[in-house]
Amino acid sequence: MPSKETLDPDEEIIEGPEARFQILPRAAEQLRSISLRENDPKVALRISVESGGCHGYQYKMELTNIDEGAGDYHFSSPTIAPSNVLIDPVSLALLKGSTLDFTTELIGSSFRVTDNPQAAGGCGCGVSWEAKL
Amino acid sequence: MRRLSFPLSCGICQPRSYASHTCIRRGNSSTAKPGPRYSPVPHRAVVSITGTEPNLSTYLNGLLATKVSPAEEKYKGFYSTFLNRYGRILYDVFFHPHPTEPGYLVEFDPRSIPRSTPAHHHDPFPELPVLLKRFVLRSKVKVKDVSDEWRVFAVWGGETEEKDDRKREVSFQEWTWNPRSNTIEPKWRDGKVLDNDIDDTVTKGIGTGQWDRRVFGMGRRILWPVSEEAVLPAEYQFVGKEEYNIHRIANGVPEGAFDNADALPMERNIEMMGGIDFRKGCYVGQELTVRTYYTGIIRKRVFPISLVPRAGTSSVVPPHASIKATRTPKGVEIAERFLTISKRARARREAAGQDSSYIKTRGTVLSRMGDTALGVLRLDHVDLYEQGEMALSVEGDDGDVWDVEVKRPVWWPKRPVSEVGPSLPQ
Repeated sequence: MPSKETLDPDEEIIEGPEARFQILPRAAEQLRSISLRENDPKVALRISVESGGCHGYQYKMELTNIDEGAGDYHFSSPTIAPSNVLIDPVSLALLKGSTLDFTTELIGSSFRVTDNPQAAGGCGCGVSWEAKL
Repeated sequence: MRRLSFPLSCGICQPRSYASHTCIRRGNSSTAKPGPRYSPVPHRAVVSITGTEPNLSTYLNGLLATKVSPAEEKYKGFYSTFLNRYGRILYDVFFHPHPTEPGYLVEFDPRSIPRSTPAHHHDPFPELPVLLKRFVLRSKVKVKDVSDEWRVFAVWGGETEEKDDRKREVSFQEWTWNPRSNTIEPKWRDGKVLDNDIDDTVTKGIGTGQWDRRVFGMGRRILWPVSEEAVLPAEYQFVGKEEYNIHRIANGVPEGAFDNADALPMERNIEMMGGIDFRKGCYVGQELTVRTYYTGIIRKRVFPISLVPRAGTSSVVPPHASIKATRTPKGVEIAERFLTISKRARARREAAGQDSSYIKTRGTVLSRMGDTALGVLRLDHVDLYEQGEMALSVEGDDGDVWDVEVKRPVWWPKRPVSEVGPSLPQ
């Protein structure tokens, strides 16, 4: 959880049961295998929300290091380690309660954010989504 | 050099002239030229959107239906639209360059109008500043409601305005039709869109504004700080906001929540006025808009109309009244597809001496000032009306009836013969 000092004045700290983010076992396994492959236990997946796409919001994911995560929320699977996920406070407001999945499809495998309680409809290509109000 | 040809006489006087009509092309009455004037624009709120490039243009490109290039030396004013995810209009807006900070002052109509479309076609109507703030996230962009700091004025009818119109006539090349879907976009000579900058001597570094290039003859928009007196050259007469509405309606420009909220942009001529770009990438509402461009068909558009009360009519036209289309005696050959009722039901009604000439779809009256108004009309109805085969009317309470006369503006694009696409749907 970020400390009060690292927050911008107009950001809010999300606490307690609100600050929930679920990592499915197969997503955690994938994070662990990335970590083993890179030989670095500090590897972390950063998930953020950006504006854009035909429905207003889209997810952005990138690999980073937990040392880069000052001021971010740090999530990990309780059973599969290392499985680090970093979410910044602004994005968590739009991501809380969601689930991180890793799906394997014919066209490729990828991490996906699913069951986002904040999301309403999505666009045809599945990239962008709209927030419920 | 090819120039647009404008008839010397007012083109809309024929064939259906009406005594006190207003000339569309020049924006002035055929009886008296009103001269240079300026007036407050009614129902305006202002929000400031500031930030440095490229943050600001990236942020705006995700939300606006037109392309925003990163500002180079200075920010430029433009007209644009915010759509919802169903491709319906939330706000039609002017972005004016901010006079003191990097960014824009955006003027919009803050009213929330009860809507007629089914609930699944829209989400709760967000206030523009709230909508904008929701998408800022981590962008270095600041959004602030500054409605109580600015007043919006329209300026038209002066020599400066006529000069700009001439400049624009030269720059305008032709209308680009999409023969498939009936969308119409202005094409500018050498692909160069005239920039909308107004002379700084008017705003004097404290105000801002731009040329209103939605249609010919609209003049200028100027934003003035509430704390300062708006000053224009002496020949400009200050008039009430009703005058602006008359000017806008006569020029066929739908504006603000009452005219546009929740409508499909092409059914409000927005792409003709430059408020939609069919070629830019993702923005909210793009999916539906571009699908309409490629596979849809535009059946309705906004026209200036006159409402002529029939004898005995004493009330006023109700807001958003519907416009009924009926066959005229000359229009007996009108195809079956226009008629609401079946052939058999019609024969029965005719035998009983009842009116059997109801036409399926209805139009809608939008902004109205006295007997001039804007109307959303089916394009095929307008064609039949102009051939004298269809009559349009509005019914009020207590049997009040107004006959609708369509005033097709002179500048209205004419479909090139070479590009005649499929006829309207059967």
